[in-house]
Amino acid sequence: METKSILLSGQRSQPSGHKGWVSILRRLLEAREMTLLLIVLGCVVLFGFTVPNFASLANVLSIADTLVFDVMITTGMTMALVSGGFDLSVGSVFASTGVVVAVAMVAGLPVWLSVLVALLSAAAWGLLNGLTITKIGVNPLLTTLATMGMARGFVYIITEGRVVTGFPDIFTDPGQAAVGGVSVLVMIAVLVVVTADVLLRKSAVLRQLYYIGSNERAARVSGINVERVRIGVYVMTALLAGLAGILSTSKFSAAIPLMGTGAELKAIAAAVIGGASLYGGEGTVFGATLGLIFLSLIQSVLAICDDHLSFGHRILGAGAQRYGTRCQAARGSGFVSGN
Amino acid sequence: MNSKLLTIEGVTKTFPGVRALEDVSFDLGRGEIHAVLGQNGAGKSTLMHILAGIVRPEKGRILMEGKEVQIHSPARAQELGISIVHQELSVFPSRNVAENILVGRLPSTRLGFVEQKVLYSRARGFLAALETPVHPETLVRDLSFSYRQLVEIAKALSYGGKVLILDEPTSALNEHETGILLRQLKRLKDNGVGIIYVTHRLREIFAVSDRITVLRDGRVVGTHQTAGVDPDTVIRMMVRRSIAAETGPKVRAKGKILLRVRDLKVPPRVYRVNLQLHEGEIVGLAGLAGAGQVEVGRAIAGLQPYRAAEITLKDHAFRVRTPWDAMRRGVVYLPADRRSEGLFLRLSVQQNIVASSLNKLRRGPWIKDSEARYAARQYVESLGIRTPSLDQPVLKLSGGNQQKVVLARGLTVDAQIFIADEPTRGIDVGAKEEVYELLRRLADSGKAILLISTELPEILAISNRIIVMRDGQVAGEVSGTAATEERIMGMASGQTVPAG
Repeated sequence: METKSILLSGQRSQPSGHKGWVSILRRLLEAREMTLLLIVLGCVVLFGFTVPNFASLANVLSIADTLVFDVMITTGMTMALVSGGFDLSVGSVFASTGVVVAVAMVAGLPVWLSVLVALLSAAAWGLLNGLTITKIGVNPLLTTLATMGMARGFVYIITEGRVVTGFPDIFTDPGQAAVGGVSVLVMIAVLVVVTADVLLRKSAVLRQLYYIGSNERAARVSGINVERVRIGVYVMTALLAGLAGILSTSKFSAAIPLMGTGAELKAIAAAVIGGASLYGGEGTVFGATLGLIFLSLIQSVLAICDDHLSFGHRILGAGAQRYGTRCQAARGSGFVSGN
Repeated sequence: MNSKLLTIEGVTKTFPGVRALEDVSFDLGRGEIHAVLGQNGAGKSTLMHILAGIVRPEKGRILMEGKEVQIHSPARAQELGISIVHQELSVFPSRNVAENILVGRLPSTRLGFVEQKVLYSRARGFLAALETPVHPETLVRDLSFSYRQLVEIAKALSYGGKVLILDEPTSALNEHETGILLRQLKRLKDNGVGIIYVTHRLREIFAVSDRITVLRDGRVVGTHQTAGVDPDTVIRMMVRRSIAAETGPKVRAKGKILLRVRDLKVPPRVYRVNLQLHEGEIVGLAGLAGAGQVEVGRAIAGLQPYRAAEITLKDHAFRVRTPWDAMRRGVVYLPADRRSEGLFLRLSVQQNIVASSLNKLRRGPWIKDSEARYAARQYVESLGIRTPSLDQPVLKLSGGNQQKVVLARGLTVDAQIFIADEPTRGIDVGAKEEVYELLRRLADSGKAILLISTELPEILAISNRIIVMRDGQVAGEVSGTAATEERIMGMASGQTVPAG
């Protein structure tokens, strides 16, 4: 009955209320992510034809593999951006969590307990961010910059600057397993992205992020518990970074103090390319993931075309449009392994 | 006419849908304080804006010292020696007093460095003329509001002005600070400066002004020597014979008490406020701008910290810290400032309407978008919100329709109490009527409404009971049927007017 009346009133006042494959298709085409998706696909086709070995399965899988951790970090960052904040500490929290789980296992704690302790430590960093920002009122830039330094410092204190290794197989196996050529990590990352994207689009709790990001004062007046939601967001970004950190330690069978350096800027860049606004109120996880893929494609092509990886890093910030000329120049010199 | 500093003859200005000015004539002598009075919307600000070069009139002449002038820009006004201190201060809080006074004209060396010594000595000169203890090197953000006001006045004087316009300078000042300001005005007057003083506050006018001009609905009602009139006469000139008597409020049998506020204190200005709201009534909270009505409303809604109060809703005492607390208990605030507090400008009509009811539209963790759409459409239709689609960003709606969106969102909450803060500010007459009708319907359904408004006709038109505030306290209460503009203005300005 209810559906019927919706449709009726829809026809009375609005043509846009129509349901049907035409309108679904139109909405898909109108979605902001569509442009980026087409660009990404265009890049893939272009590079596939112009860059040697680009289209190889090995290369695609290796791109996917390297993306896993950044994808999770970017997912959290997108939520922070949508709510009108951001989180510079994700790279350090990623390292901190990856190191905590390692140190705990080396100290003899059972694997499940080590993972739990590590996730709690990640949540603690997020809580520290959230409480400082909402209760004390320090702005997100200073707060998360401070946490970034503290978490990185914490990593160096508990590892004494050394790489931590020596974990039970049951911990390292999942990070290195693959089913039908696709690694378990890639599957986990896809699961995280899909879940987070749907939640951010459709769940009542996360819908509040868009309101807070659009106009925090109006959100307060509308009865949204702004402080609580904000704290939740920072805990969420930290947990996602932490989960990525644990999986990274599992994959490499080692916790490296330097891991995750610079991840926060890459995540912000990806989310903004994917349609998030630095002023809040806009952005999707799907878009941000596409943004990340786009960045990685460029980086990967540079890695293939140029034997200096550092050049890739430089150009990542400076502007991706120069890749064309580099590729042309590199063509004659043949394929050089990027990593 | 030669002794006149400034003369305005037959000035007319119209804005679409707004009362502005019609055939207004006015003059100001040297060393005169000329008060301009009128209710909100009477045209005071438009007149001042014309003199300040912000708005250009369609008809009429302006003469400065007997010569006709065109004031086509604020810079031209300054050249002519007309300075204005606006209602909202335009200071730079993080710069010091001297830089604020001489903004745009900082003395500099040939290399472009600011000459600190010259800067401070010049600023000190202007400050000394006002007998202020303010030091030129103090940062403006460290000054109290009244001293900031004095800095603004010093700035206005630094242009070498002959005419100083003050647009409601005391609405945010306390009695002591007002005293300082008025003393300084008398000094300026003795130095030959002509001062136009715009205010609602009768007491100040009778304390300092030489003449009084009253505006109503864009026309001059009359100009009198201050010594020759009494406050009652002035109030009668200001108010228009209200149509409220005909459309006026019904007398209502009082329902149960919904909200009781005892001894509310909102630092720094509001104290010992008691009020009650009954089921099914609209209570108008009247008073001059800045008398504390807004603070009372915002405190109850959880938007402003308060002290020493007891707030009970249906006999349950509670403490409100955030709007979230208030809303859970059934108190909804409809903000006066739509753009900064009411709307998510870039979000759609639908998203704006459902912002307060996400929890109700939830099935498990998910928002039911179809239900949100259905609910939003119901409100759009029942409130007559004119929008091409539910997906239209509210940014693109007219003021009246934006206001209805804010109201619609309030209605989605299952609330007992609605606090409507200036619900018709900046919207046209037709939309106003619709908003009133909506508030009446809400009251008819048993809700209680606290209507905060500085527009008396509005308060009179729909309130069942009117509480008048003055200087942060309740000055009195009248029933909707017994209320007249004279009585309320009298209470609000501290002049008692005998009934009738």
